[in-house]
Amino acid sequence: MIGPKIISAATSKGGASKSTTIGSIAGAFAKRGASVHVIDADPKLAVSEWMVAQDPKVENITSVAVKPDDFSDYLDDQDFSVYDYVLIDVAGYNDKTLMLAMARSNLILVPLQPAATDLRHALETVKAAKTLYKNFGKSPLYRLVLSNIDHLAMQEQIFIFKEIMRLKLDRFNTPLTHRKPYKTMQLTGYPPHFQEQTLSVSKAVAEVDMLIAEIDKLIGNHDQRKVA
Amino acid sequence: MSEFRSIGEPLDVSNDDLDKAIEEMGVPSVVTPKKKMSQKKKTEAIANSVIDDPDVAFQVKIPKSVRKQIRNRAVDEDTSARHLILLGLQSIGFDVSEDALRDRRRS
Repeated sequence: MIGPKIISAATSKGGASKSTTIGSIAGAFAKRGASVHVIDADPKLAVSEWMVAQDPKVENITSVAVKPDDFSDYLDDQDFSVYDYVLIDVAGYNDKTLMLAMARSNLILVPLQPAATDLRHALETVKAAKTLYKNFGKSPLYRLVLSNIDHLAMQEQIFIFKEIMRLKLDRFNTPLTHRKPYKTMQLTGYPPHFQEQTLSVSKAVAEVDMLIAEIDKLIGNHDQRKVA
Repeated sequence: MSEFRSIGEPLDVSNDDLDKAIEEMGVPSVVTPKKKMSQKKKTEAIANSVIDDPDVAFQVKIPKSVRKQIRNRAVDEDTSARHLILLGLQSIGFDVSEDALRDRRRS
């Protein structure tokens, strides 16, 4: 049986758009018919609350809130083979749950907003992932995801892009820009792909689709994996 | 980009090895804090359960599949494995008080 691809959103900084990224790509995967399971290991329970808020529920997405104390056992005991994707959201601080999520993921997304603090935490998270994998002679597959990017390139935003290039950090080319549908998701629980179509929603859907196209290139499309 | 990096394989190592590596990196483990109990409730709880019928450790080996079911049910019902086990024992006739059934994590 072909197992799911596990993707975690990890950074030791809170408010870096981890939950927004997980919620958005969960919607995009589900929209194209993939079965998605979201593990919300963030005590803030943002993603799982969004899922609860959905009425009616989005098909193909299930979610569970797992306490940090139970996270390791949950990963061990649960049968994930029925899913195409397992998405993990963790708390915004450096702890064991963050490390475990990164250790068990095929792809580590490191979201950051265009701020120096976010970049510093992203850098620390990437370093921690590399150190952890190096202990076992391996290298993690990670990508920075720039989020809440402003349409007007502010000085700090330009600085962050330059720093990412200087530090040679791997990042996705597609950023998630500052758009209303991401805020709407926090109110209605619906990811952009399941919101009422407006120009703003269409733009958000387009950029999330571009993001998951980049993810497909790295870890494969679930339909392709089934055929293979 | 190398082929390996494009595959993206998670670490296929035991939990013990992973825990050890994480510990050596000095990463802290966040444990859910116990809720503070008022002195009055604490006194009552001690009087009602701890002194009269304290919890003791009791370790048994069970099939992994059963443990998995217990944990899944506990997650689904947002309760503890202890609660489920005591509930099961009560249902087959064991004398388990309602106080003992209480989820200790919520006290």
